Amino acid sequence: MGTAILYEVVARVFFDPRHVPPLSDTLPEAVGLLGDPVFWTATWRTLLAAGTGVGIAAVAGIGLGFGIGSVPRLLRVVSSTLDFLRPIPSIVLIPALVFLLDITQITVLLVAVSCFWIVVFQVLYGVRDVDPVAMETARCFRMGRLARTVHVTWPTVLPYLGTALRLVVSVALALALTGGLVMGAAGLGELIWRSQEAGDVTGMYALVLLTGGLGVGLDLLARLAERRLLHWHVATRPEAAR
Amino acid sequence: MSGRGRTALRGLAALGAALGLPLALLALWWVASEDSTHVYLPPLRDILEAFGRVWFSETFVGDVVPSLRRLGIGLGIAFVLGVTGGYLLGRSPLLRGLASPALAYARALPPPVIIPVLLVAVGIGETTKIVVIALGALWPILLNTCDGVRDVDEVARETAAAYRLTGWTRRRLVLRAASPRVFAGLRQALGLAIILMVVSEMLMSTDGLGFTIVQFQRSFALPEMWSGVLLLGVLGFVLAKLLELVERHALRWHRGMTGRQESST
Amino acid sequence: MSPAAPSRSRPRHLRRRLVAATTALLLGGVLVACGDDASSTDEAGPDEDGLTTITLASAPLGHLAPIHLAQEHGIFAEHGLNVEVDTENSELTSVPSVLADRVDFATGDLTTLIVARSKGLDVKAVVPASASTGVPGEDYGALVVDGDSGITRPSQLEGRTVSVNILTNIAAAAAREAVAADGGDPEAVELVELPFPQVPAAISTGRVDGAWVVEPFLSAAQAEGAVPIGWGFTDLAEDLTVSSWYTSGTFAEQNPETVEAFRDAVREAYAYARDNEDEVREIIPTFTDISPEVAESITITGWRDEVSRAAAEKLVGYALRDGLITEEPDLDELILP
Repeated sequence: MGTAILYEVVARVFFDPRHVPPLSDTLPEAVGLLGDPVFWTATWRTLLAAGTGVGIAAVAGIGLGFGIGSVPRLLRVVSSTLDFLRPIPSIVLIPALVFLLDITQITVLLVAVSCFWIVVFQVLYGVRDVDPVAMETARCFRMGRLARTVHVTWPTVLPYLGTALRLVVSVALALALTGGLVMGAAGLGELIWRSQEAGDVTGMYALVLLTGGLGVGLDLLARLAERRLLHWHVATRPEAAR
Repeated sequence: MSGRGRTALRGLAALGAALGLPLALLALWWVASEDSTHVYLPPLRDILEAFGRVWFSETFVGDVVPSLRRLGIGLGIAFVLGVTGGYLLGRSPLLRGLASPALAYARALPPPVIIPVLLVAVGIGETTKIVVIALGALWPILLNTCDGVRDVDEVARETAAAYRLTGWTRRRLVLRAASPRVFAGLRQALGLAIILMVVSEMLMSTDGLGFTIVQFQRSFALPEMWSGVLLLGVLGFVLAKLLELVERHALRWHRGMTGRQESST
Repeated sequence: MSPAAPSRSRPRHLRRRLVAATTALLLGGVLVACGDDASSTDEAGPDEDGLTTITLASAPLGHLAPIHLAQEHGIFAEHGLNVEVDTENSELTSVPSVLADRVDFATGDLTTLIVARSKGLDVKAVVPASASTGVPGEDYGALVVDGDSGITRPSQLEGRTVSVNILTNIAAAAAREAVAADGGDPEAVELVELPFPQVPAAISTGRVDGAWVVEPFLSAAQAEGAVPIGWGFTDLAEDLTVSSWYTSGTFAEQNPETVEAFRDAVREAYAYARDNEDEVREIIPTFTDISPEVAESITITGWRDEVSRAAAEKLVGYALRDGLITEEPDLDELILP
């Protein structure tokens, strides 16, 4: 609520309503959109692309992260390649990708690649943070590699993954929108693009408002999920009381 | 001599390990693309030839230097804001509850949506690009710091109470304990910031690495475009290595305290 | 795996490819995974009701109105065509989509097509998609400045910032030529990229000194106090083809009748659009988000039947001058006779 008031003040004081319309103009428009099936179809498509991408990224990122992270020698060989590939923006690869995949798939791929990097780096850092004393202890107890991963590494990495989860949901949404904005992929991004192309500023901001709301909703879900996953963890204990 | 020689050898071995796979992949790419007639996927030979032609010229100074400056300033701002904000949010559940929706809202908006607003607010100069980089790179640092502080805070609070530590000493204790998380965030932010540097230079630019790559793409100068992509990769690799050195230096105490071995990542 | 059904279903082992491509990308071998993928056989044959299905890349842009009119009035069917409109497209993807055979026809501005041809991309211009009205003062694109800026002619923009939507396309050529035609030095103008939708705000807040802009943003900018000081299109050529429908060389070679039928249908649609401007204005809000009020008042694009060879030659000259290309493309290869 406070944010809303702040936005309203900033919008009215600093901006021409023709460029950044105040909430009082965008809200009715946004409410109108909520009754429009086109909006819901687009939302569903965007969420589907984002969700599929996150799924791929989670599987690949967690698998690779643990695989590479638990073998120091492998990590030394692979990490330079990861650093080399990380900064390449998927957006410049789009024209080449058109020869392989259709626009919907490219959007999923954009999401998956961006999220994959987040997951894999969080896992790698988490694995590195494992307490060597605990690891030695596990070895003394003659635990196998798998058991050590499950009982020692996994609990250490989980908090890192919790952070990754919250980073990933917003990145996935932003990237799914970008697919619509730069490639016309069907979804909310495409609706925003259409309203931009038509010079419909109020309509565009109404969409942005709802998109941001969607982001807040997803973040809430992610935080709930994190709490379920980490209920044993010290950081979330005070939270659970709230 | 022997000590120094061994260090040099170890350095060489590390370098070999670091460069081995990329070189192998490049060789594979070279062979696979040798007789490619695909206009969007030119042979690596052409790309490397373009690389020499394009980047070993005044373009490097004219485009890469401004880009690196934007990147540095943007990332610096993100780091300061991220650590400060993350610390405050990590300390206060109330603040977290209040700020979370607004932060989630801001995180969900992609740069193409934010840029038009910034255009009206701050214009088309350097500021907009730096703001875009800082805004995007902020989140991994902020969230990681916040979670890291949250993790250690309770323990630290009890410790500090037991030892009657107050104020700055305690703050330092908490931040130090959270620093592995801060660096995880910084590492994420670095990769993101390079991408955002390119994205922010796609609009309203007259120079920069991202600008140049996009111009190549738009005028179908595809070998040149791929050479720019290669350069981005090299840049990312070099910067990540630098960050690693800083981190190793900063976290020495951490490894020492917890008995971790020197592991190079 | 693929969330929404792809817009066209050619048998393409999608799942396997997506997995392969994902793996390839993640392992950094995006290039290794794919050889020359442009499928070489794309015979568009008639289906059971005697119509040949073609796919057009379309965007929510006003100048495509005749295509929608032709759909509504069955003009394509008269020419034996069943047209599918693929809206999942943008200028970023349109050339590769045509070359990769995902769509049969797309639109691109003539300068971009000239640059593509010069770089060896096999594109063929079939029929104009939009053209200058040919009347200075009444065109759908103009060079504008803020009314209070004190700038009254294009040559005064020397040493100032002027925005165009893309630096390597016809808008940049038009902006430069408007300055040159007024006796100014286009080299002395600093061009920056700015999407058309952002132009009205950028001009009225003084973020740029001038902008080359098209409808509906030309009207929007004027409503915010911008004034046109030059036209650009008419400076480039008398009968300028701004953008053109194009296809790939392979498609044109394999389906000459289909390309011919498409061209005839589009020309018929243009004749209809020229005679029924009110219908054009009515249909624009149905496939774009432009409001009926705005559609009523904007300047409508010109439509011509022939891609102007003379104009294309001039554009080649400008592209050489502005350093977009280093070798002249063969216009006989670019423009389908």
